Amino acid sequence: MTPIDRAFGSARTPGPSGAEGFALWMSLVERPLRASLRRFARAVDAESVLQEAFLRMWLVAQDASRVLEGEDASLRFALRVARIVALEEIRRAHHEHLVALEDLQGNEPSVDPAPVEDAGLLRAIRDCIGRLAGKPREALMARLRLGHGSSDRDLAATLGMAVNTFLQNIVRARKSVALCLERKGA
Amino acid sequence: MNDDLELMLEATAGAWRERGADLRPVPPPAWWDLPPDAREAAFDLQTRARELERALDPRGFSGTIRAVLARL
Repeated sequence: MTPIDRAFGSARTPGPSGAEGFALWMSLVERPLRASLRRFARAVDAESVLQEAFLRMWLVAQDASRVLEGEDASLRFALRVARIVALEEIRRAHHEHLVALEDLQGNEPSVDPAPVEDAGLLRAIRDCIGRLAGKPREALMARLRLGHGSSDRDLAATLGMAVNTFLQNIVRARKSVALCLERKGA
Repeated sequence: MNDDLELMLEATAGAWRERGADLRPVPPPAWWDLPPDAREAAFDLQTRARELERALDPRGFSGTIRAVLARL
């Protein structure tokens, strides 16, 4: 059994430990799932599609009658779910013309099921973010730590910034981090 | 890249999404204003943003994962 299958199995445990298992499963499959949506990027917002696909997979995990068989079955199933959600959004927005025909009709792309975590890159990112200062640091840290649960408008208000100023500070921070990573060869 | 486009891209990079009447996540208003080529740049920026979030989170969870967990 692969780590992905084990994590999805633990997501089926009732109660809080099931949610923890599901979080672990999401962390293992997020990269390949997101990468699979690259081909639809002109037509859909991948972040919205991915969150909806994860929420549907949570329902699958809670359905004890549903059996997923084969190596990395939950990832392969999630790739299909993400594609279905993307196609639903493309049709709702009438964006079919922005996607290649083979991607509208085709199968799931081949993906690396478990890209290796690059510990050196993680250290470099932490170091480069640690070197930020002032308003750019405040804005980026607010977005990175709280941006999953609060809108930019709310985050900006918390920091006493106009939304545009908040966004400008994040752009500056990202450029500094990118330059720092480049200097580290990361 | 001009400043306006940079700000529009940044406005799509966070993991927070409003919910529609059907409770599905809704793309940010700025995403709809982007030309198709820039939407690919938005995808790449979102991907990089999630990596920064992973790097700082004690459990290695991105903003996407934390946003979904809050909805379970």
